[in-house]
Amino acid sequence: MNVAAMASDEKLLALFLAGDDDAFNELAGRYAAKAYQLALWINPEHGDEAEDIVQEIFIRLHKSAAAFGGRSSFKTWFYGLARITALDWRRSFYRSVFGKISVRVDSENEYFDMPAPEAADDALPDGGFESERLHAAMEKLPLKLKLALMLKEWEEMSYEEIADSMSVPVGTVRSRLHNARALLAGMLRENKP
Amino acid sequence: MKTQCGFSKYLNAYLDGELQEPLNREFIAHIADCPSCSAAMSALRRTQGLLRAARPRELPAGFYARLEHRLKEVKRPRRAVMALGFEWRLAAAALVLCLLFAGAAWLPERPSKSGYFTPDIEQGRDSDCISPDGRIS
Repeated sequence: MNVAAMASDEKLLALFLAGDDDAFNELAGRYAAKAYQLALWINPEHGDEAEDIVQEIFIRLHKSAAAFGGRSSFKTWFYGLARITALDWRRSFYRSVFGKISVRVDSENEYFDMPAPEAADDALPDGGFESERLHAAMEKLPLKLKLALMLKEWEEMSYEEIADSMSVPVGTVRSRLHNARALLAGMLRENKP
Repeated sequence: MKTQCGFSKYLNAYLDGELQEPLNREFIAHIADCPSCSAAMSALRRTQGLLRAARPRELPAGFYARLEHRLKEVKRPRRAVMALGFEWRLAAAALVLCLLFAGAAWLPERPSKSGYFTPDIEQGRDSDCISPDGRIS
C-alpha cells in the first residue's frame, strides 16, 4: 500500500518538510492539474505559458512550505498561493507590454437571474454533454466567478474556506456562486446541441 | 432564481449544504410544495452534476519530469543559518565574537555621571568625563 497516497495534504507537507521528496511529488500529483486549469483561466491569452505558471506555483510551494501555519486547511492555503502566483504572472505580463498594471475588476454588485424555472429543468443539456462545451462555457465566466465555482464544485470547499482562500467575505462567496451558476446555466441552455 | 417565491434566495445555500437549522428544515418542507423552487433546484442540481463530472484540462505530457528538473535547482527550505555550510557558520560565529570583543574594548571603564560618553580633553586622563556643569570627574 502506498502510504503517501493515503496521507492527508497536511501530513504530506509535514513529511516533505522532514525531508521526504516523495511527499511533495504526491502533493503535486493531487493539485497540478487543477492549478493548470486555474492558470489557463487567469491567463487565457497565454495558454502556452500555463505550464510555466504551474511550475512557478510549485516552486513557490517548495520554497514557502514552512510558512504554512495550519490556521486553515492546506487546500485553502494552496489555492490562495496559486491564485496569487498566477495573478502576479498576469500583472508582470501587462507591465512588460503596457508599462502599467491593467487588472480587470468584476463587479460584485451585479446579481444575475437564473433562467426561468419553468424552462430550466429541461433546457439544460443531459449527461452526454461534451466536456469541451462545458469548459468553453466556463471560460466565458468572469474570473472571480469561475474560481469560486471551481473551489466549490471540484474541491468541495465550504463557503468559509472559499472566502479564506480568495480573501473575500462569506457573503461575497455566496453571491459569486449564485451568479456563476446563473450565468453558466444560461450559457449551457444557449449552447445545447 | 427568477421566481416569485421568497424562498428562492436560499436555493444555492441549500444546494451547498450551507443552510443553517431551523431554516434548512423549513426550506425542505417548502420545496416539496413549491413547483417553482423545486424546478429551480432540479436545474441547479443538473448544472452541479455536469460541473462535477467535468475534469480539469489535462497537463501537457512530460510536465512532472520538467517540474522535477526545475525543483532540483531549488534548495530545500531550511532556516537561513542552517542553510550555510559548517565553515561559513564557524566564520560567522568567529566574526560575532570579534565584534563583541572589539565593542567591549571601546567601552569606557566607568560611565560618566551624566550618563554621556565624552571624548578625552586632558592628556593622560583617558576615561575622564565632564559633568553637565563643566567639572571634570
